Amino acid sequence: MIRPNRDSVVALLLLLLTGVFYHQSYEIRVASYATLPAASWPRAILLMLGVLSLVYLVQSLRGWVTPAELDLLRESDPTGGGPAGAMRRYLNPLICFGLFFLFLLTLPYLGMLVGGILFVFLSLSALGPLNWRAAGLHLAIAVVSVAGIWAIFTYALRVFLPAGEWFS
Amino acid sequence: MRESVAEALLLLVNFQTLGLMTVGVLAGLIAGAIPGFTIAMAVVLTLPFTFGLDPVPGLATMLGVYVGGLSGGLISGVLIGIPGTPSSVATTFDGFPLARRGEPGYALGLGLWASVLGGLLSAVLLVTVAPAMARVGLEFRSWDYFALTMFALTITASLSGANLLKGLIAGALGLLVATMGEDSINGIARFTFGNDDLRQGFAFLPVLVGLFAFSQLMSDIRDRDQACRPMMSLKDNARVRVPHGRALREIARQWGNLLRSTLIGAFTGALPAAGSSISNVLAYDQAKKASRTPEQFGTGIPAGIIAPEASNNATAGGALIMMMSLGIPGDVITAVMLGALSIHNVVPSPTFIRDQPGIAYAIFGAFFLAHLILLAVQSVALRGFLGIVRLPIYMLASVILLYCAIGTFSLNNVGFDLWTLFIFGVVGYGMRLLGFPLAPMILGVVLGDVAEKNLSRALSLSDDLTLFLSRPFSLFFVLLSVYSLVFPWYQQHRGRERWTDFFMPSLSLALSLPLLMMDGPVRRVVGVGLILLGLGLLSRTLWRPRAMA
Repeated sequence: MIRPNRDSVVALLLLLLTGVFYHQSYEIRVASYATLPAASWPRAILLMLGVLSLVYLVQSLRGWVTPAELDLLRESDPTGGGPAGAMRRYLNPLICFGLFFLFLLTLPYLGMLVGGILFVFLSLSALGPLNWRAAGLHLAIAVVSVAGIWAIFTYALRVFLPAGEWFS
Repeated sequence: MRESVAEALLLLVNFQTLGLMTVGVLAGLIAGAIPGFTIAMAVVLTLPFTFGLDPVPGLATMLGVYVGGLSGGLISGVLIGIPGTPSSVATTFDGFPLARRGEPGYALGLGLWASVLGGLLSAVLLVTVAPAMARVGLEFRSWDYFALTMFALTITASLSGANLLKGLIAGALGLLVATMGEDSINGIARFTFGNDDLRQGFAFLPVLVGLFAFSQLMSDIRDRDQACRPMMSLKDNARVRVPHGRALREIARQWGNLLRSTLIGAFTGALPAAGSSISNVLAYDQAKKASRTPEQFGTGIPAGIIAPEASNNATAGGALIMMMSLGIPGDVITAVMLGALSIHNVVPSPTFIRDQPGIAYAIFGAFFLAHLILLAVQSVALRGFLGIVRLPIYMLASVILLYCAIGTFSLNNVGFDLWTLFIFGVVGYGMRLLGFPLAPMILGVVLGDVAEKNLSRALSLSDDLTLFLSRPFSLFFVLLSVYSLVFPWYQQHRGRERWTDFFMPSLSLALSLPLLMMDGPVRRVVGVGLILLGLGLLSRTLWRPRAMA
């Protein structure tokens, strides 16, 4: 049995996305005063996207692999292939995305200054070398860079940045 | 006129005004270099400081921020691959690769001098052709604007390079993103999925910064060893310096590219609501199409830096043309400047230049001087910026991500923008990994709303769809759109397939038709010229013996 390649999976996901949005387009209210109904332009775009995704799917069908070929691909991958291999390959970006997500979740409580310093410090520590000297350097960089830009925005430009519930 | 120029010089050339302009240019450079901060925001933040100043120093300061901001985007675009402002998106395509090859100074020098020369040329245009250019822009109606945006969207085809299908999909996704939230025409919510935050839709800047910044930075830090190395190893001190002579010689060699890009920028700036975020991409696309080696675009060639940087600074001149000659803002920034002028009881209108020549010429002069100040300030500031890229990548990535968040948040002071930044960061990185180009998606997000608004307005005025073909400007852009879509195939098969020999002649003949339909002798003369050109190319094609492949 042959298996779909990455392009086919992406094409199917795009078609699914198109379907979901097209279904949602029927939730758009019809206004009697509108010359061009609010749903018309999105549906035209979805039609175009659907056609392009179908063409993409058809083109991708040529690239389907057999399980044997898939095993060969995995063996040649130094990170080991599969989900575990993907985690190893993309560990740094996953860490960054995860820390940024946590930064956004804690922003209402910690504020931009404290939350920002924590984010930068943790990112530097996770991505860089792990020793006490590096940790000290990372802390200094986090404090100076974040506090500096925070001060410029707050005092020089008078732009409001969230202070956080715990520190306001 | 001599008295007006003398009056303008007196108002401009003094310690206070020049000092304020220098501070403004430097502030604009810094603001432009921070992804997400935007030039418009920098100019808005400058506005309160100008309340206590006279009109000329106040306007001159704001112009300094504007000009500085346009070039500030160049610095971050070249050094870290993230466009600091939407007006430098296309600069990153070749600026960053050239810097990565160990020539950041050369890339910056090309951008700097292209910016300065493009801006100075547009300053000349501003003074000499302001009334005529403004009249052309005023002739545009909704049909013409819609056709123009469709033409701009077809550029996604040529921006996608080898991945034409993926580029078109990315463009469609961008258009879809632009439809989310409240419909700007009827105020009806679309694709909110029951979420109140989504009613406001996705702001353009968090989308831009998320797509570009996250994806670029995540690519840079993916490999642990690579992440601990400097972004660029600048062993040779000579590379740290900007080779001004070499950059100028290259720009002189590409004077056609510079001139064409300046004209594109000035014309785009003159069109209300079209700005440097469009003109830099348009100019890049045209430079690529006019090149004998289009496949080299994107690898770090000078032409790919000269075109967008010349056009984005020239756009400022074009936007000022509309403001000065008709009192209509060409973009957001000139709208802020109009506000500043009205605070000082100065109201630009069609008679502004005639009634207040001193102030008018002072504004022309300030725009000119700002570019000269930019030359001096940026050369000094560049040394500091170049030092930044000696730091390990992981340090830059972490700090820049937070700066992007702060810059994005300060735009609207809305937390949802940060979530937008995050979401599109994930989307952008995913697109990079899957081989989807990002620029077409950005173009779709920028132009989607503009296209829909103008389509709706056009249909409100008349349901006759043939107007899209019978109106000269609309027909002009429809024809350009068709040829723009076909152009990638033309480039691919040029010299090998017979039909490619007829591409240029047919384009020339086709474009002559709308020009002949327009009013005015100049346009008709240009139309006749295009017919003669087309016939000449056609006869050469038909009579030239075909070389065997």
